Amino acid sequence: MKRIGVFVCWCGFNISGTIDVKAVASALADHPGVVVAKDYKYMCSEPGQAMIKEAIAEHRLSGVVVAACSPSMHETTFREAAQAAGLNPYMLEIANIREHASWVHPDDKIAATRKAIDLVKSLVEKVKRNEALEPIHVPMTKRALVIGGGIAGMQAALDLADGGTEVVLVERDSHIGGHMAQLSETFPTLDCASCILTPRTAEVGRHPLIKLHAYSEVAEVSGYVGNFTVKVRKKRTYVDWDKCIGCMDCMAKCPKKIPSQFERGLGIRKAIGVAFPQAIPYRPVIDRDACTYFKTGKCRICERVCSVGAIDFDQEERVIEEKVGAIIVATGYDLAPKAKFGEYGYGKIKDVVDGLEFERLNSSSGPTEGVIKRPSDGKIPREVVFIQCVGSRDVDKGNSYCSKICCMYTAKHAMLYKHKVPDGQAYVFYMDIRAGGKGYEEFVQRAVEQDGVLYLRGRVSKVYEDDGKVIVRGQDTLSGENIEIAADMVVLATAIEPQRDSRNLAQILKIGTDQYGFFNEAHPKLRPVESMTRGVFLAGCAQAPKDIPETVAQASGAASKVDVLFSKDDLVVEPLIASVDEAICSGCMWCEPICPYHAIEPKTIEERVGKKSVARRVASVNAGLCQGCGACSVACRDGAMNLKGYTNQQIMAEVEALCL
Amino acid sequence: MSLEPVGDTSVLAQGRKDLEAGAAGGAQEGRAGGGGEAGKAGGAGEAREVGKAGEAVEEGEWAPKIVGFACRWCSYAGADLAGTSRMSYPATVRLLRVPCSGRVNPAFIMRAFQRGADAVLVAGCHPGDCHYTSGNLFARRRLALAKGLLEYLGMEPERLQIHWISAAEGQKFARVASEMSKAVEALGRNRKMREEI
Amino acid sequence: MREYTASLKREAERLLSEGRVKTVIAFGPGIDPLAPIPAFAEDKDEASDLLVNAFSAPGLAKYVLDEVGGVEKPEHSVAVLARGCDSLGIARLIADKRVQRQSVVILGVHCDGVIDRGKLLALNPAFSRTKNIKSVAIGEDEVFVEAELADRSAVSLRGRPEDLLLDKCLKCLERDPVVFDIMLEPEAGTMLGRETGPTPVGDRGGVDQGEKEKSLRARRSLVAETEALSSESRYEFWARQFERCIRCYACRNVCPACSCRKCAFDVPDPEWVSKCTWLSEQFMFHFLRAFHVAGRCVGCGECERACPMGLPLSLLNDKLMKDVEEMFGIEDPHVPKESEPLGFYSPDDPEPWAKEVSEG
Repeated sequence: MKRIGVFVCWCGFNISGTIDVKAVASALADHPGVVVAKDYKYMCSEPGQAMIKEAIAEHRLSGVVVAACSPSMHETTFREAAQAAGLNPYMLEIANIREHASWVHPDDKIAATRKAIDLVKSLVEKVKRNEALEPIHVPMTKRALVIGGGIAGMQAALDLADGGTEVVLVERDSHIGGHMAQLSETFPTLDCASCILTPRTAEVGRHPLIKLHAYSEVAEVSGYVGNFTVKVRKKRTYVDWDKCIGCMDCMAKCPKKIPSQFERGLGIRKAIGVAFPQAIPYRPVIDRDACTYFKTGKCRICERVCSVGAIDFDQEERVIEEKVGAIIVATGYDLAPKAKFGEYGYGKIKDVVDGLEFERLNSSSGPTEGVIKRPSDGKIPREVVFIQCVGSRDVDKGNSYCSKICCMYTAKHAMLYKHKVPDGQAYVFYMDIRAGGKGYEEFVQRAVEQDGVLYLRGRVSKVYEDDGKVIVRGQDTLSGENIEIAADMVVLATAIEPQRDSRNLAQILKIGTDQYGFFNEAHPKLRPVESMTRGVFLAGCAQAPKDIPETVAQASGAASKVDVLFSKDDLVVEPLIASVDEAICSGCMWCEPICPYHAIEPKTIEERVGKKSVARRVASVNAGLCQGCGACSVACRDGAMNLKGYTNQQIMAEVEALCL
Repeated sequence: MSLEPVGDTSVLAQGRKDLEAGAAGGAQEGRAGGGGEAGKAGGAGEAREVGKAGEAVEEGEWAPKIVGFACRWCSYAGADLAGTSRMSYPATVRLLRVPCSGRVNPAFIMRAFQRGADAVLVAGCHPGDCHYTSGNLFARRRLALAKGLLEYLGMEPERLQIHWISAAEGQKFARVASEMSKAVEALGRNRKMREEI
Repeated sequence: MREYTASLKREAERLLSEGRVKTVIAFGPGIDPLAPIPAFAEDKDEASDLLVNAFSAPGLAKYVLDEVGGVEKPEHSVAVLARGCDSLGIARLIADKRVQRQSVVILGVHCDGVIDRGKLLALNPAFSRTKNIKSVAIGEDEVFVEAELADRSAVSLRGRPEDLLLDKCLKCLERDPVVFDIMLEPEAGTMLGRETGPTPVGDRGGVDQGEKEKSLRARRSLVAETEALSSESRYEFWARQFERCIRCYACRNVCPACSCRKCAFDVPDPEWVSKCTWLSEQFMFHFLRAFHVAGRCVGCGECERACPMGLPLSLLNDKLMKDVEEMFGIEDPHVPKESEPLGFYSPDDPEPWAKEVSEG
């Protein structure tokens, strides 16, 4: 037998000035199932709450409806009061007769009172069908996985580890540091990138709470927030890193030279070795495609010179399993491929380079030791043209977005060039300058005013080679003049694009991507570091183009989100989630694609039919992932999928009561 | 399987003929629940009479009854804002809180009409702003079909309205409530698909 | 219609003797030669009684669910005869994960349409004494039926397809199965009773894209006609239809998209639809039935064929199919796909309510 108590609040004159609260209480007193209906001046006050508590005890109430202000104001207050009186908090509902009635119908007291009665009755009918619910506790592994060892991943890993959380850091390359390790200087301070990066990489390398899997990839992720199982594929390095002492004798003696990827093809490396001198981990990898032994079956010089016997040509790929409770995705970006920009001569004309190549030409540890020489003949360029928005803000190339950092790094490049070649001339073709950020606008102004970089507003129409020069034709839309520059070198600010395989990783992690392949945040404003999958967080350019300070800020944000998650003993979940009536469920699984949180999975149950045991598929809801939107429950035709707190039964009853 | 159609199979054609012949008058009279002389089964006459009786009883003091489903994050909060801003609108809309417009089962809407609602409002976050990212986008698909079907069965379009109202749009909520109320008043009491008790 | 019975028997016997399937679902002779009934052959003897002909009206898809549906690992497989419409139904059950693809062997057969026994008898009641169907030919513009009666006299009839074929066959979307394992071959050049029959009026052959388009157009134009009525007239029209509904649930029972373990109409709480048959509940029932198959209806027309009261249920299903196609740009909306139209969305989905003008 349902025993419902109704408590009508006056809210001073806020409600009682328009609504006849006595009439509401007395109308409800006669409603089936209602055993007590009272009104009081301020229900949310101590005496008001005491009145509810006493009534719960005195009348052994099974449910309570408080007719008062919006549930967003005091639902929690009243539910706590109910709980204090021994009633399950989810057995209390709020009828909103202030914001939705008295305040909006001041001129029609009768209609407002009638509406208030309807609203309260509707909630009474709902609460009759409420179910006592308990918060759900899900155990979790307080250990985090960070995917990607660039500046974003390192920052997140260090923040977490410094706070005492164990971190597994997976890096696809043989070293950490990401693209930042390739940079020469950074805007707007022009401090050297490796000077600020190297201490960080070293710290990551030696941190006792960071377990680094370099030259490894995430192959598979199963489980859910608090309880992920991750399979990490350790690729073959052909060197036993545990034995190796990093003497690099192998690299010194290796006879095979190949273009270095780290140097963007502008420098060379050996078939065995590290990408750059400060690489962490400082352990060599054999490039199987280049190695003479793998090609011809002869050589093995590295094996001979290795004093510890670390070379292992028969090494097998290994897959190891890690258990973690949260995942931060910091897989960074890629530059738009050369093939896209034939019209700028990129990939055809040697002296047309992209931004990262220019960084290497600038870097004191780069192939030219920091002297800016053009790739074709090693001459110092006298005139350099920088072209912005190459592949960004360009619908034809598929990227309508702004890559965000190019305006700044182009200004930096032009400045660095002018510092090294003071009598040279730098031109910048731009669409418009976007220099939002602390000290950014000033930085661009400096390039123009102090360093005399010539900014030309307009698009380049053609780039071609002529007699050792790179001819750049374009238009200055400000003056309307056609411009032709016989440059020695052209630098393209090519677009930042998601990693080529970002969609694949998104699938593994069950997170979404936008149309370009950048990972989607859970909410563009309020949840910018969370993905749609609970327990998976985002940092850096994998989410969208951004510069280093912003990347670091987002990485720290993601790390602190993980800390928030891990700060509790176990995962506590609001019980207002979807649940499946397995007896009814047909296992059609059409609910599955509806769920934005991937909280629904098929599961097999055993059932006795006659004397036999029969296996049958049903949907199951992961309480750790479900956020309680209820979209699945409408996709379910037979009503097997229901939403606790907003069940089909509750809503139908509310509708009926509202209409009577 | 002996569920073969018997006799005349072209019901559609027959139904149309009936309509042309007899029901035109019924339609003009604006009565619901079947009409004209052409009703083949007894139910038609019955429903018609109950409909008439209902009309007689409450004619004088009728005001529209509008059931509103409001998602708790946007539209319910938008209605709260209309309240805190003391915007006035007719007391015809009664809101029911759901977590998301994606939770609104078209069956709920039908049930409201059955039990006497003169109109139904479904209000959710603007597409793209759903608290659960996609709930309102699924809702939009479902409701597009459900509303189409409902109208196809003869319901006036104004009686089921779908509006995207954000938590900041108290004014929009008040406007929608007022306009909807006015539109339904012009249409009069709904009797279609309604249960007569 | 070409003669497929021999090929059906041969395949059925082979599948059964090889032990690949436990049951073959096709047709068998009924009491009335004009109404073959679904038959389930479990051995060679039973297989020799199987048949399929131009009077095989019932759809067979739902029987697959009864035989092997609903469980993760069925103990055995079945084979089922499948015309275009049957195959759509089977594909529906597979897409809805109610039947596992590997537990059903689909014996595809081409179909030119099925003769509506009721229409035939209405045109010539003498056919009710049919002992033997001697010859049937279904052509583009003409259908010919010849039968031997109980008194050994012969009766024949020539008529337009619309006067003789099942309504559902007149708007057929797939004459050939959309999914099959074995395609039954017709007896070389034979027609039913060819020896004694007249010159065949031809064979309609496979449905080409133009044909399908024609059927779709026919369906759409019926829907459009209904849409063109005023709200009042539409309501009157449907009220008149629904008033006749006796709530026998035949439409649901034959529907391959209605495969829930426990149908919403049988769930007591919440009571989605009450057992009362007053008009309001009839509207709720028919609204929900149609909406529950929205985007999943295969257009097989079984609901309408099975309805003892002759309600134009396809007119509801086709409306939704039309909307799904037009609003969400779903091609071939009747063919089951990996995702159902209500299982995904596009950010640019239309909002048909944006311009609200009363036409009542």
